[in-house]
Amino acid sequence: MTFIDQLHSFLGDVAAQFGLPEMPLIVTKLVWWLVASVLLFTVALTIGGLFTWVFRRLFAFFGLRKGPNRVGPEGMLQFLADGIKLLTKEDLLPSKADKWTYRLAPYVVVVPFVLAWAPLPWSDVIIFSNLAYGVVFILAVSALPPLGELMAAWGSNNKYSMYGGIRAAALDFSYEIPLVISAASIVLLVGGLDTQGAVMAQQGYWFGFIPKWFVFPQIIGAFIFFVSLLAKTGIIPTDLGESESELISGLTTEYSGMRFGFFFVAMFSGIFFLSALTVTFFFGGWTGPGFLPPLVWFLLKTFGLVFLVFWIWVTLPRFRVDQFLNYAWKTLFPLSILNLVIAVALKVWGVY
Amino acid sequence: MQEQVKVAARGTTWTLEGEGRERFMDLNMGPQHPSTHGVLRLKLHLNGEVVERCEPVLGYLHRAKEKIAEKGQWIKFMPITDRMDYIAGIYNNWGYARAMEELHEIEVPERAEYLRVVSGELQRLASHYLFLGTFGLDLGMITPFFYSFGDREKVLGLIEELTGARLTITYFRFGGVKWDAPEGWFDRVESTVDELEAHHKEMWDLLVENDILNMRLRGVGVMTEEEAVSLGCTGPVLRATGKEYDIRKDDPYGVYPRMRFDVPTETTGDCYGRFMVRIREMKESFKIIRQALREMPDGPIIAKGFDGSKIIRTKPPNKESYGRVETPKGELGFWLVSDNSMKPYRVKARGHSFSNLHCLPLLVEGSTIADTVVSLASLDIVLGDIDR
Repeated sequence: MTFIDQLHSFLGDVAAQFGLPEMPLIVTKLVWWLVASVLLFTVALTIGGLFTWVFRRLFAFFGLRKGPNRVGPEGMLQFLADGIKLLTKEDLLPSKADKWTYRLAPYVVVVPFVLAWAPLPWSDVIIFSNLAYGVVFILAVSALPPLGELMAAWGSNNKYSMYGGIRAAALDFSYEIPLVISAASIVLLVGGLDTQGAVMAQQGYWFGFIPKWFVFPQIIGAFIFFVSLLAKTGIIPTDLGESESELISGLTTEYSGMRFGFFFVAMFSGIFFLSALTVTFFFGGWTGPGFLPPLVWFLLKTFGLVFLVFWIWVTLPRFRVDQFLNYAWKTLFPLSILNLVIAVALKVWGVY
Repeated sequence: MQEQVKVAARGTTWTLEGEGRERFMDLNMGPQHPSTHGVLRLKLHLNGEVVERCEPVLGYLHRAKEKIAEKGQWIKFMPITDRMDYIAGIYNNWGYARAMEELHEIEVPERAEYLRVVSGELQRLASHYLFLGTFGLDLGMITPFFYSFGDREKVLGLIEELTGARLTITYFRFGGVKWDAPEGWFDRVESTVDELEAHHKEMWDLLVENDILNMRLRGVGVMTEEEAVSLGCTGPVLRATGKEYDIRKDDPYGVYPRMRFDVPTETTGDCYGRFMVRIREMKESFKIIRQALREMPDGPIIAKGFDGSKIIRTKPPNKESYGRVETPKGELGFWLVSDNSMKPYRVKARGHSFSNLHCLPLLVEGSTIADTVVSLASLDIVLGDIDR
């Protein structure tokens, strides 16, 4: 009996108590899908918002400052105040902008990042949608935001935006291929395309104490995945689309109000999501010793990685475009092929 | 054949000119831009991201300072000079005071000279801290900005204690300085310098040994010694090309001949060299401040006949003089012409940033937008000095 059936019979019981007729199954399904997707968006955007606060606090501590600490406990509700401010700001449209692409672009950026959360396993039972082809879904959907970035760049009718968009698109090509190949190595080791299976395959220990995480046999893949993560979220060593000191604000130069807020939230929810994905693929997901529940393990590992990402963000300078493209095409790409070969060898020798 | 191509999102006005695959675009970088350090405008002629031509456009901050000088008594120009290179105001005072002292043959008391050296070197530190912070920011490093501004704050606190102001200081007078050091100030300077030196090591580790920073800076914006000399570059921009030229050594003034310090030079002539010269110069400033504090004599702080309100009736003899000082950014000179009246006949300032900016097209043509920003930042210009 699936969850939907249970829910359907439960709702039927409730309806019977009030003397209402039983609803068809499809209504239950629709209600559940609606609730689940609202929940997914709420979780994703709240985490995205909350992480703006986490980032600003950490950034302040790195820079020997205090950071936002007034709104709510320790300034935790700062993102709500900022969100309200952004919502009440004027939604400016540049006079010669391409209206449709300009207005649509923030949604094209933010929606894929949220959608891709669906097959992410939070614990052994918490998963929004345990798709049988979850890895493919995640990779396909999370590759969409650069399209939105290009739309934003073109629609803004601004030279800086255009440079930012072209850079973001060029960057996208360079990191997406190593990213997919290193994910393919994981798929090969797991022998399946679902994310929950990838976590299950990492349960247990070698020699009784080394966890069977894929990061050990796939260290190169984990590195490539992490670098691609940095590039995909567009944070500082690779924030070529934004490049604040060069292109003013890159592709978001012309955006104001909540449309800008969407880019911002997409970035932070993307950081959390991609860290979570790295944890799922390489650091055992929600697995861990039994004294903590799986969800806590998952969040702990993810926060650890997010902390590392923020640390890199506030410390390193920015690559030049050609330097990163060179690096991605001439170093990451061959390395990812090598990593795939290692995965095949491990599979052939029967390690996995 | 010049082909005009309209690239268009809905009737837009970008016009690309060129033949075949070579399409150019003009981009006005500034006057409102995060990394043009004020209201500088760069007209960039771009082929893709490659800068084909670069033309700095000046004048957005022009305040007719040299004309203002002719309208008031000699000393009344002193506060105006603060607003020229507002990052290092003391050196503007110093340049003007030195020119005037040569013109009027004023003997400056020893204690005043030492106070000038201490406050001047503190100002040099403040200026270089600002450079380090904004340079990191232009490269995308956020945290060094806060570190260096925290340290700059300490230096400015000391300067404020001494002079009563942080930015527009007006500390110097003809023949001396305005205020003596408050009680315990020298000890506070000493302890602050120790603190800053420890932080300086941290900044060094954070910046100098960073791989991406090295990738971004090495071989970018290269200039040879001949080019630098012929374009009139001075200061760290010139010293980065290998020429050891420092007015504190080559045309010494005040008590600088007694100070023991080295002039750091680099031979690369690129952005990395300019950056390294500045960060090494800070160490020399620590040394100079320590030595000046040790040797600080007692005595008057201003020459006889120039204290109090007498200074406003200064009437220099009927001749010309040129006084120059080594500021954190290069040579700053003042050319004064006197007609034996209470007002200057002519004051001409030779600005360091104005001269250094001339080499920008040479540095950036053929490189990308990203390198343009870095090259510009490595010149460490200040628009208040360029436009005056």
